[in-house]
Amino acid sequence: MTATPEAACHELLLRLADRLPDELLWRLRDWLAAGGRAALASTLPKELLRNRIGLTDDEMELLGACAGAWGAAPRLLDAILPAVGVPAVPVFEPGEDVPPDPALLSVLAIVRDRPGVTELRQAWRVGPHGRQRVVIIRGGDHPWEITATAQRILRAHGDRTPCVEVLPPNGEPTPYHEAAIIGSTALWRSTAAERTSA
Amino acid sequence: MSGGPTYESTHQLLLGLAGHIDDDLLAWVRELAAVGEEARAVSLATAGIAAGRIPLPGPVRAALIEAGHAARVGIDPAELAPAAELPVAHRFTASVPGAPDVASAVRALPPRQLQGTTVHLTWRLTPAGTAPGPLPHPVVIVEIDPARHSGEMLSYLMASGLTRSGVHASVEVITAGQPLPAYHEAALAAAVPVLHGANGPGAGGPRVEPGAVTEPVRIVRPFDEPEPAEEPAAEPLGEVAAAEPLGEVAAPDEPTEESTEPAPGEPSAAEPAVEPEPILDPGEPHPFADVPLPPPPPRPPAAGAALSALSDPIPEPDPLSDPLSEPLLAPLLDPTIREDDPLGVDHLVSRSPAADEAPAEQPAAESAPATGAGPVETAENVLIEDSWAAEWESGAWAMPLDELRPEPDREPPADPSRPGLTEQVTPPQPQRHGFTQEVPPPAPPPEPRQARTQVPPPASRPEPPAPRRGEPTRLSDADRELLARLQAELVQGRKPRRPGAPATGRPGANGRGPNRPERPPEAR
Repeated sequence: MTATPEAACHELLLRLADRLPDELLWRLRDWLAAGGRAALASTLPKELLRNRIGLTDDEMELLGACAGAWGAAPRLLDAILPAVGVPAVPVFEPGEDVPPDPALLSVLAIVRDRPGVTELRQAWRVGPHGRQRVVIIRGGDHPWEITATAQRILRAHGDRTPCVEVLPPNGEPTPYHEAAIIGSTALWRSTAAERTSA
Repeated sequence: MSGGPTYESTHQLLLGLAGHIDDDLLAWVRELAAVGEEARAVSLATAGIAAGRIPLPGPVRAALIEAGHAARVGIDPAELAPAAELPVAHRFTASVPGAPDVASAVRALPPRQLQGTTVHLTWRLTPAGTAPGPLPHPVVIVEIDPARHSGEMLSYLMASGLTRSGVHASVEVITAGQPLPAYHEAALAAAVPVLHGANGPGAGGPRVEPGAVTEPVRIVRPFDEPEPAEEPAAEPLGEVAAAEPLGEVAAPDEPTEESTEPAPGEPSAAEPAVEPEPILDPGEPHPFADVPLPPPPPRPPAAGAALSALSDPIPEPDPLSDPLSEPLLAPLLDPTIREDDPLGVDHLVSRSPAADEAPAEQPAAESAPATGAGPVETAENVLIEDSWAAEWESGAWAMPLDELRPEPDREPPADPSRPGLTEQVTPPQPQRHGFTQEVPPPAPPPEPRQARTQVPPPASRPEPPAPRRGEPTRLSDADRELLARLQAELVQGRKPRRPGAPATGRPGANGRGPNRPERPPEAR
């Protein structure tokens, strides 16, 4: 694996969607985009331990590739629990058939010109704490930066815990993201993607 | 930095971070600090500041580094941005058109959280942190007395309460009279008061809830001087609770009437509902019943410890409502005929001092007070104790049984016509600590009333029925006829008792006395 620590961290944070609390996960992703390596190396292992989040072997490699490389304490990394079972997948729904709100239009404004971005979708996750908007972006270079930017836009519009999932253009999505894609509605798709699909 | 704010505590440090990090992170770390997770709070704040390269003022940065060392955050201080003031100072405004009604949400918070506080509201117009929320952002500034409130706890409680009501506001709890950071100075300069004191004029006057702390405080001040009528209405509820701690309540030497009587010239209608005068319900225990009272005057010494309980006075005994006792039987037991009282029952009806001066033979021990015990009334009990004491002092209880056998010539002469008191109070006690001798059958209990009778009533005579408690005792015609016959018989001359005549007094087999139990033959 030749990915950079930021790419490994971004992939790990993608896999931790709906496993870590939303109010923490968006902040970790924001720190990643802001270059807060020391903050992530200090906080991510501790929060995994505190929330008793188990990691698979692949995820452990990703954690070592980012947090380990950034100076996380080895004793903290060794104490991470192994993953057991498959996390339950929440329910997603596309929402009302209404025009996109200014928050989503602002996100669209910053992603449509980003290189590599092919699609923008939106879903609503339904859970015990209410409905939460989930924005799905396919493709793009430096996906962690796209994530942080979209998050800050959503926060400025009142979404206190933005959930922005910037997925790689290829690859197998996690069950959480697969369910989110199925339950989402497409808002925008690039012409290059249209030609590729055609 | 003399005169500037200090950041020694976590609460003060988080106050210094206000305006530098986003409001959600600040609220989160305040919650963590309130619940005791200060290390995690400092770690998250440090990580957010380090990741965002947020510049902090020098004192705040130094305090954060020091707190990070204590919390073992694990972030090198070099990761923090150099110390600097905010590039753009925050701006606030007092009112925002169309903004949610934050003031009403603040007033709807539990009053106990706001007692003794002054609450201001302002709106911040500038973003805070790297990922700020929507603007304008409401900022609630609460001035507290640190001796009565915990700043971080109150901030957490109020922010949680406002969030439940749908208002996401920052709650900055500051200490009145202390130097403030520039952020709070600017916020206060553009703030409007929401509550003064506990429930100030912004709420339209003091409010009272049933669970308010001030009510019991008012109740436990029964001995305080009445306050002026205007003072309670103007005084915040929380200050009432603080100014009068519970420990200053009891002043036993002050009269209790002040608690229930209004002050002179104080109109009762002017008393607000917040401080109602306590209403004493006569059917309920007095609220000051547990106030220590002066000890009662010492009672006169009783004749003896055993008599002290009996000497507890029954001031005016009602002979007709008491159970049948000796006085009603007195005419039968002591058939002394008096000219003015042939039946001998007048003394039962009226207890005049003359009736108390009865002859020594008159059994009136129960009606006489212990302190004024006459020789006959208390001699019985005294002799019982004297006999026990004499036995104890003689050491007979520890002597061999053979030495305790009485000599025949020591037997006092039996005089049925005038039985002495010593005859009835010195019954042979059963052997104590004796294991080699058979235990004699238990002696019948002494019957002192019968012992003092000279002529026991015949067994054939029916005993007067015992009146039930509460019913007046009356002698039936048959009883009166019986008494008349008996008295006539006595007037004619006292007949000697027939030996072996049946009597209720269970006289001894040898006729010496009714209370002298027969010794077992082997003991003679």
